[in-house]
This record gives sequence, C-alpha cells and structure tokens, in this order.
Amino acid sequence: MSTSSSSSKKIVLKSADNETFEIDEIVALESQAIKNMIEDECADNVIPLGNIDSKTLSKIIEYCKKHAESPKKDDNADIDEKAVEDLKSFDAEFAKVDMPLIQDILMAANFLNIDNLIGLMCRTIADRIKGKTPEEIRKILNINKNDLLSPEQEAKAREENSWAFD
Amino acid sequence: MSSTSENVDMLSNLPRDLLSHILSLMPAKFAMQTSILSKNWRYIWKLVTNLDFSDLDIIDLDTKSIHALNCFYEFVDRVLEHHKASQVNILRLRFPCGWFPHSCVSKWISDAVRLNVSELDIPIFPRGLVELPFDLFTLKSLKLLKLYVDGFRFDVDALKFPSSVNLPSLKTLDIYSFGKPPVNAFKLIHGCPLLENLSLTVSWCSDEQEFVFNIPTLKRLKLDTPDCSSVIKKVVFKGDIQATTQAQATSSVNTIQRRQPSMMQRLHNFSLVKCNAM
Repeated sequence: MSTSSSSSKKIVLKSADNETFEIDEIVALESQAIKNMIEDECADNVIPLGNIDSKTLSKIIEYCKKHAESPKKDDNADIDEKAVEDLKSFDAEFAKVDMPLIQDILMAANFLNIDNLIGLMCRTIADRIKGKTPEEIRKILNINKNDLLSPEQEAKAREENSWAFD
Repeated sequence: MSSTSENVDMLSNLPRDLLSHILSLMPAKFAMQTSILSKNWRYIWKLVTNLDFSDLDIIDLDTKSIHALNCFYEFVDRVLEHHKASQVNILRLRFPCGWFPHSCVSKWISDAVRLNVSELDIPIFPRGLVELPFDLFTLKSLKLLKLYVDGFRFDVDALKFPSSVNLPSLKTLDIYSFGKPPVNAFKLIHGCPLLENLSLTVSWCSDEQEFVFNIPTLKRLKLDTPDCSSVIKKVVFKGDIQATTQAQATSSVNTIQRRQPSMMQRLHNFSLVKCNAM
C-alpha cells in the first residue's frame, strides 16, 4: 500500500522532550487527530505533541508504520490471510511492554485518536488483570497502599456484590 | 502524560471511556471484583457496558442464597440505571427462568432497548402469552437476538407480537418455534433485511410445510426440525442475487445441521430449491 519513497510527503512530530521524528504522511494519517489537522490545513510542518514523551512517541510511530504498510481490512474482502496473521503477531509482540508504558501509549493513542491501538492497549490491560487476585492486580496496577479500603469498607464492598465474590 | 513516577495508581486516572472499554473486555464478574482494589477503584465498575453473564460460574448462583440473587439483581439494575446517557453493548443473561420474575427481565429488556443495546441474549419465563417491550422489535441498534428458556431457545410463537417488525441492523437471529405454524418466527425473520446468520428450530408438522427464505444477505442457515423432517417438502431460497445465490444456497445446504444424528438420514427428504425468479 504505502511505498515510502523519498518523494512522499513528510510530517515532523515533536515530542514533549523536544525530540523530532520525521515520518511519511501516510504513517501519520493512522492518527485520526493528525488526519483531521492535515485535512483542515491547520498542521504546520512540525506538529508539537507536548504531552507525549519520545519513548512513547517512538513506539506509536513503530505501530503506525506497520499498520500503514499493511493492507486494510475494508480495502479488499479477499485480504491475504498471511498479512492478517503477520499483523496479529506484530501486535502481540508490540504489546509485550511494561504497564507504565502501556498506559502512556494508551493515553497518547487516545489523544491522537488511533482506534486500533486504543483497542490493542485496552485488550492487553484487560487480559493482564482479569481473573487475578486483588493482591496481584494491585501489584500490576501499582496501587498505593495508602489508597486501600479499610477492612470494613472492603467487607461492605464484598457484601454489596457478593455474587461476584466467592 | 508520563505515568512512570512512583506511587501512581495506574489506570484509575484514565478517561472514563477508556476505563469503560477495558472493563467491557472482561466478564462482568471480573469487572465487579475491581471494586475492592482501592478507594479510587471503588465505583469504577459502574462504567461497564457489557453485561455478559454467559460464563458458567454464574450457574453457581443457583446454589447460593436469596441474598446473592438480590445482589445480582441490584447489580444489573444499577448498571442499567447508571448508563443514563450512554450505551450498553451486550446484555447476555443465562440463568434458570425461575430466578427472576418476568417483570424484572422485561424491565431489563426495556432498559437495554433505551440504551440501544446491540446484543441481547436473555432468558424468558414462559407463562401464557409473554409480552416483551414492543420497542425491541423496531430497535435500530440490535445486531444479535437470542431468547432462551432454561438453556433452550424460547418459543417465539408464545410471544405477543407487534404488527410490524423492523430490525434493520440485525445480523444474527437464533429462534425456536413450537407447536403451531411458525407465524411469529417468519414475521421476525422477514423483519430483518440484513440477516446473515439464522438458526431456526421448528417443530410444527404439516404436509404442506414449505420454508421460504427471501433473504439475499443470508450467509449461514441452521435449520433444525426435530419432529417433522419427514413431512417438510421444500426449503426455498429466494434471492435477488442471480448467479451467486445459487452458490449461496448450495453452501447453506451444507451448513444445515441436526442436533440429533439420527435425523441426518431424513435430511434427504428435503428438496432444496432455489428460485431466482420472484
């Protein structure tokens, strides 16, 4: 689909820590928010992303590149199954990062409005916490000990929805 | 927006729609269990949009106390109440019909209709002619409809039916008709212009039995006729599509399945006819 020829239009994204990333426009268009900016002609050559750090932004660009290169599902009903599988395994690998980064990517993807990436991050989080004990989830989510419910409050919460607890 | 600093409770500061998205990707029971994680998490479960109780552990409730049933009832009620302005995607409840009175299930259906539910899979308590909210039969958002009674599909011909049915988004329908001409079943089927997956069980027998499926979009048909396959003469597919419909009809023949293997033999009594000319 996209051939990143040197003549294709470039977009520069600037992270919160002032690192710049030059990418093909087609990659940037994976973000609905950037797409809207370009369509409304309110995007300068450099798009500042003051709330996304360079570590997060480079992960997001990695994702958008891969997805921009892959054939879209709606393009063709007889889409190559290998391409679908390839994208799936890319997504699975992509999501193998620690929780803080997942959360940062999710927040950034939400800001940039990248639907598939939002979905992937949400699924990853859900998969990591479902079926785990409260103690395990607290560890995964880095829940502060000072924020725990008192024993009385916890008993009340369990009582209110006893069907959900054994 | 870096969250890497110490002592930051992850996720609970996410926007509500993202939390809702995450919670809706897990069974409601797990979503509910987050209520004891911390003070921040105490009421985040209310953002859940999929009420999916198809998993087996809900069956455990059967042996639990009236109190647990009441809590469960309140939970479903509260979630449906809470979503005043937004949408509930899935309402899927599988439990014995005696657990909750019909009025209560009917109220949940009304709430789900108000919330533009897209998948409804619920138990019906059979008692005479059952009335469901008529709005359900014209719900634009509905994509999947399954009605159950004690693990079996509910007899749609025991439902009080509105004069017209129009479910423009419905793609999957799983229905059962027992004991008389399947009038409602076909009223329902014909009110779904974009139906793709149809599972129909009919147990009414007649020498004149003929099934006509005039649904160009139909991709899969599961026709189950446990008591009367020997008397059904014809299953007719009528479609607007010319050349491709023949293939579609053929593939549909292949997907006809029987619950009882002994019935397989009698499948040959069917003649499957495709009529291009309407």
